[in-house]
Amino acid sequence: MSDDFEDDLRHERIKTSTLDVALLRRMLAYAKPYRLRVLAGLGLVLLSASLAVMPPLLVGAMVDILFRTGESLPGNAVARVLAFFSGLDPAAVRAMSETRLLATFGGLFLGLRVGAFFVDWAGAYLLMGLGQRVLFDIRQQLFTHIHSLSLSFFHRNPVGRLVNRVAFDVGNMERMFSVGIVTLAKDALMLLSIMTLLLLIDLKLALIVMSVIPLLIVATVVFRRFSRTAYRRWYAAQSRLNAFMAETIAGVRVVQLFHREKHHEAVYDRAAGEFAKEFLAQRRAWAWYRPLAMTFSASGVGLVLWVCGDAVLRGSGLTPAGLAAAGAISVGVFVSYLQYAELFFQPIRDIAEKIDIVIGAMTSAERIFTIEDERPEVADLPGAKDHGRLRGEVRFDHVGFEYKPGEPVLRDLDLTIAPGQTVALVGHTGAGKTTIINLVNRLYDVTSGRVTVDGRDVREYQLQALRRHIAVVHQDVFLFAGTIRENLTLGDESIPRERVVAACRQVGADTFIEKRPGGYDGIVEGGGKTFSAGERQLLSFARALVFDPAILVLDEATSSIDTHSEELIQTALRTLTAGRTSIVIAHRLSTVQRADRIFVLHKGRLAESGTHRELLAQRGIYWKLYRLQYRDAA
Amino acid sequence: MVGRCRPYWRPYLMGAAALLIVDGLDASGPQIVRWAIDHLVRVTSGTGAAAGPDSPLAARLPAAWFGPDSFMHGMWVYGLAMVLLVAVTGFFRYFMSMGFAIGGITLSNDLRKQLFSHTQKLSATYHDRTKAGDLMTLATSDINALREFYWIGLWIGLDTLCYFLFVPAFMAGISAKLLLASLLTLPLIPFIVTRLAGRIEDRYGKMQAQLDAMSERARESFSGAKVVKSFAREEGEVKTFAKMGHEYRRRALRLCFVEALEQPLLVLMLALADLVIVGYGGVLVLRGLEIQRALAAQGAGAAEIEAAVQAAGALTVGGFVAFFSYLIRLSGPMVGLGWVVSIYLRGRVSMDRIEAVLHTKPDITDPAQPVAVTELRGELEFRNLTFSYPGRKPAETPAGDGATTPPAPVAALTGISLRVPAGKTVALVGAVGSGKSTLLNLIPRLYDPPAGTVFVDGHDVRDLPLGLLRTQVGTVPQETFLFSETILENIGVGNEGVGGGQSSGETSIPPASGGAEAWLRECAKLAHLDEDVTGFPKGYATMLGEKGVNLSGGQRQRVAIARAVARRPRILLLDDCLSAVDTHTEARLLGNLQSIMAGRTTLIVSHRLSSVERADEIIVLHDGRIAERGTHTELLALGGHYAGLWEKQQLEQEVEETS
Ligand SMILES: Nc1ncnc2c1ncn2[C@@H]1O[C@H](COP(=O)(O)OP(=O)(O)O)[C@@H](O)[C@H]1O
Ligand SMILES: Nc1ncnc2c1ncn2[C@@H]1O[C@H](COP(=O)(O)OP(=O)(O)O)[C@@H](O)[C@H]1O
Ligand SMILES: [Mg+2]
Ligand SMILES: [Mg+2]
Repeated sequence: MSDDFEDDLRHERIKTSTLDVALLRRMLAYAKPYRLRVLAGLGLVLLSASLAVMPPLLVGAMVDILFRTGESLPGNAVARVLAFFSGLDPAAVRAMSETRLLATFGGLFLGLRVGAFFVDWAGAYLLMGLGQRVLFDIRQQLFTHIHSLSLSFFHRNPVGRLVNRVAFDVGNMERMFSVGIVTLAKDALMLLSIMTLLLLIDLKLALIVMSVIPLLIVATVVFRRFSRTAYRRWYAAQSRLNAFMAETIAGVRVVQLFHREKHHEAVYDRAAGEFAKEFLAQRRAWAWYRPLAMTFSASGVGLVLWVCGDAVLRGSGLTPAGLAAAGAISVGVFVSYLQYAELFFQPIRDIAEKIDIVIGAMTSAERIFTIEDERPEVADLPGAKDHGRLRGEVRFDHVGFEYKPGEPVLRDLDLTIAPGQTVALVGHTGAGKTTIINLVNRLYDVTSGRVTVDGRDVREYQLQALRRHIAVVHQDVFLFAGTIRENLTLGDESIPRERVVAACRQVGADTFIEKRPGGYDGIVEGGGKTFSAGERQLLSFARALVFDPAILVLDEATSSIDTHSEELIQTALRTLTAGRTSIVIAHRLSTVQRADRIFVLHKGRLAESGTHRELLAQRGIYWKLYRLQYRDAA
Repeated sequence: MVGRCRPYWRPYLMGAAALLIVDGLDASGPQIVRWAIDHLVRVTSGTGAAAGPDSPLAARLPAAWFGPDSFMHGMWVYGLAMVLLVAVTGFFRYFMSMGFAIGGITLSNDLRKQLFSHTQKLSATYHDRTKAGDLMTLATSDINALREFYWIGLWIGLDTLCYFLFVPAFMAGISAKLLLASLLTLPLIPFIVTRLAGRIEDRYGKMQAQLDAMSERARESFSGAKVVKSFAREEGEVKTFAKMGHEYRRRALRLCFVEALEQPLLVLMLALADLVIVGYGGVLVLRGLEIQRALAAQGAGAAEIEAAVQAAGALTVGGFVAFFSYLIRLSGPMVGLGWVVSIYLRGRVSMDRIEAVLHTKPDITDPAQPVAVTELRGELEFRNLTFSYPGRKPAETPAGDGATTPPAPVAALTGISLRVPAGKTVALVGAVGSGKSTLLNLIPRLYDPPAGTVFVDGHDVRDLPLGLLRTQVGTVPQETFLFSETILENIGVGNEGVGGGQSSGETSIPPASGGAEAWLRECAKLAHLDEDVTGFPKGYATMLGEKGVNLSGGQRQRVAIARAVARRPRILLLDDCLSAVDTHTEARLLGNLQSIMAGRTTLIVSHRLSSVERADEIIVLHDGRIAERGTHTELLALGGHYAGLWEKQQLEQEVEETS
């Protein structure tokens, strides 16, 4: 476990990447399985972009051809480009009557718009679909990965934080695909096509328009830096806020009982204030950037007005031959150019807007990848095998364990449990009993020494194979939403109903289950809060029996259960434990004394072991515990 | 929905004012272009070269700037005007962006706060039946949807509106006729928007519901990670989640289909406008050009020509081009309109969901006229208390004999009458589910007892100030819940002002003074926790994981005991508070508890008779009724259930002792 558990708990640790290219590449890798769709989508986007750059050309042509402003320029550039795209012969176009020209231009405009409609629709749907598919993959992969991580990971990450990543961050990262790529691709392609057209029409003018691009790039780079930091802080603040709220809601009964509302509101206010502050910081960066980007792009348009206008004027009164020499242009070209200059900066402006979304998505991606990069501390080792059903022999061989480095909880522990034996662990609270259990089914790995089951180190088993044969009734009960039956089978459909009912009968849970509406198919509400604590414990007990384990572990499984019910369980257990190894932790010595062997733990060490009688005879810790419990009765 | 903005009018006003300026300036951009083009056309057509300044901009500037020999023919003026215009607009843009951002974030933050405070007030009954994840979704994705609306939604909404007002106004300045003709398609827009909107709202709601379900599932699954791991059920979890994910994707794709349609469809509306401008506008320009040529031949000045063209209702080339520019400027808002509608609809769905919670009245609140007491003595009384949990229906009778009358709801407690004089101790024993915890929970009104059944100091608990009642009742719940704070905070928070004698509970200052901390440590010692905690490297400042995961079960339980004791309660409720504690610790704790309990009214639930036997009265509950009552000796004499339990323990022990 990490030595800065506390730090992790208070602050999220996010691996920030300095190299955007690497991050982007990793994000885009999610689209790989959908190559075809991406290509088709991009094809449509390209088509859509080329349709979108047509109107200025048409307007320019109209001005020159229909309004005859460019009559002095037979080889006018606009007409040339138009001819190139429409296949109409410039001379033929010029020969048309005014009415025919109007109809032709009208038809072209209409065709463009209608074409754009279908292309845009199909393209958007295709790429939004891509976004949704990718979203599913990211979310599923993250969820699977989180479940592959060790318990310690869950302990240092509040649940609210993890849910935030799975729900919010994944959704946000998806915007990279549905919004980011769609619009960015379209914008980029539009830019490219406009640049091509500008270059085709006039090289010098094209260079003038593009001269403001470096300024834009600088502004964007600076903005990106500020915005990334701001976004990171904003999302971190959001996650903190959410985790806090989730915890408060989970503990709302205690909040009310202890009149903690004010305190929680104060903490909430602090977190929410931070959230608002970081949000506004990010917005401020953007509010600076956008006007700047727009001013720069306007400078481009201004330059066109100035330089092109001058070029037009210079040409006035000259002969066609002289015109070309003077580098002059027609009014139509000027109009097209001006419109292009404006159109040129529209995608740039759009990118300025969408870059915000992309940076947000990248920030979320970092948060997701931080988890994805997390490796389980307890994982299948190479060569781990499924060794089939266990016999149930458990040995601790000089085991030492610490949750936090430097704070040993178990020291040099040696113990052996024979197959089929029932053993008891006793000791003061905090002695390390639960910890021992956690080592048997490898929720944690030992720090030193080894734990063996059936003579094999637990690390030689596949985790799943090991755990499938060990059922633990945990000290704190957890019930899932769903029916009672689903809670007992944990969703394993292959477990027959009879086995569930039998297990409940054995622990005496059948009476209260049958009394509830719906019986075994009744819904567990509010995390099981509508059961009494003892009832919950019985359910958890029944769950362990349903799985028919080779090793049954009871960690204070009857602590909230009255003596009478417990006695019933004890009787049942005697048959149930036959043929399996049982490890029982209990404080009530009446529960413990029937064990084949009792291990007494003291401060992480094995202090005594033996049968009840032997231990009483030793007159050690066990004897003292025993005396205390029955002191009053004696 | 917009009405909610009223308290936040300052930032919104700033944003809106800046927006008006921005849109006004922005809409005048094509004017500059128009002037520049007309300037060019006039000069190049050979007619106006000498005609002098002709545009409203040039008319205000020295004529020499635009002369044939001037620097670049004065075209730089138009270029510079353009840049300046955008720069000034940019200045206001900043205030526009920030105004709406501030409004949106404050409003949504306040709304979330309201939600948070409200859920804290809703009683356990509500939380029993509500998934925590659902509340979290409200506080996260729904609040986000609302933030979007109150920030971007209002902003773009207003922006769109302004554009639809300003741009046509400028267009009308160029040619009113052409404007009217080209806007013929506009009435189609509301029609399309409303048709699509209903569908989007519906599909979005369905998608969001599935997302909620998935968040809830993830929350459950991660909270129960220990169980999932121990039973090797990861695969099952992943499969269930994948199934939900598939359904989410299906719903999302259905939404995408309409959403993808919306914007292209709105933009398509402009196609008709295009046609009108090309056809009708083209004719107008041709007519305008004729007039221009005719007048120029007569040697008329630029201003004269302009007026003549206007008067004839015709168009100049510049005007024509500007019209197109304006049309392009309208296509942005056109798309924006679709967007605003989606954001609004999403916001409305979210607002409805949030309001549903906000409108849920907390069923346990301060009484309208609380009894004027400032301190409790601690006398407790239950008068013929019958209590059943709301919503608990009896098991359904099997189909077929529906004729029988439905049985009454299963009561958790029936006919409980019990008086506990101040300072006395009463113990409760009984089987699992017999109603012990329920009885305890009714005293601090975690659940509300029926009126006239539970009394403290002779007052119905429902008439006592809730704050007072809860600060004077200290509970150790059966199941320990600790917060992810330091150990000291866990013990101390909520006790402010309690120890100091003022029992207002109003101050929310964390216990900072050394005196308060000393008291908390004292309590920890009483709970026999001190030894464990001082063993930790950070002692009382040790941060706990969620629910106190980094403590052992017994340590957690003792933190809870210290927490209850720390508030110096008049009434102490100990619900099986030693279940996770070993006998050694228990024995010492019991000794300490005796001294704590002295002078306080105590109800103690325990399965260990040793902790119960010294009580002034012992109540045996059975199925929610009092089965036996009396002192230890009386109950032994009675020879009932209690005596049976006792004998069993005695017997067990004797067998072992003699062996
Ligand atoms: N997840 C954890 N992280 C850090 N310390 C822990 C964790 N779980 C338990 N501990 C500490 O380890 C010690 C042994 O705990 P545990 O094994 O739960 O005791 P018990 O014998 O009561 O079951 C305790 O001092 C406890 O504070
Ligand atoms: N919040 C609740 N909502 C509905 N039923 C409840 C709730 N809490 C407990 N019950 C039911 O009421 C009965 C008494 O529960 P409880 O008082 O907790 O028993 P115990 O004596 O074990 O403490 C049980 O049958 C239980 O299922
Ligand atoms: Mg334990
Ligand atoms: Mg109980």
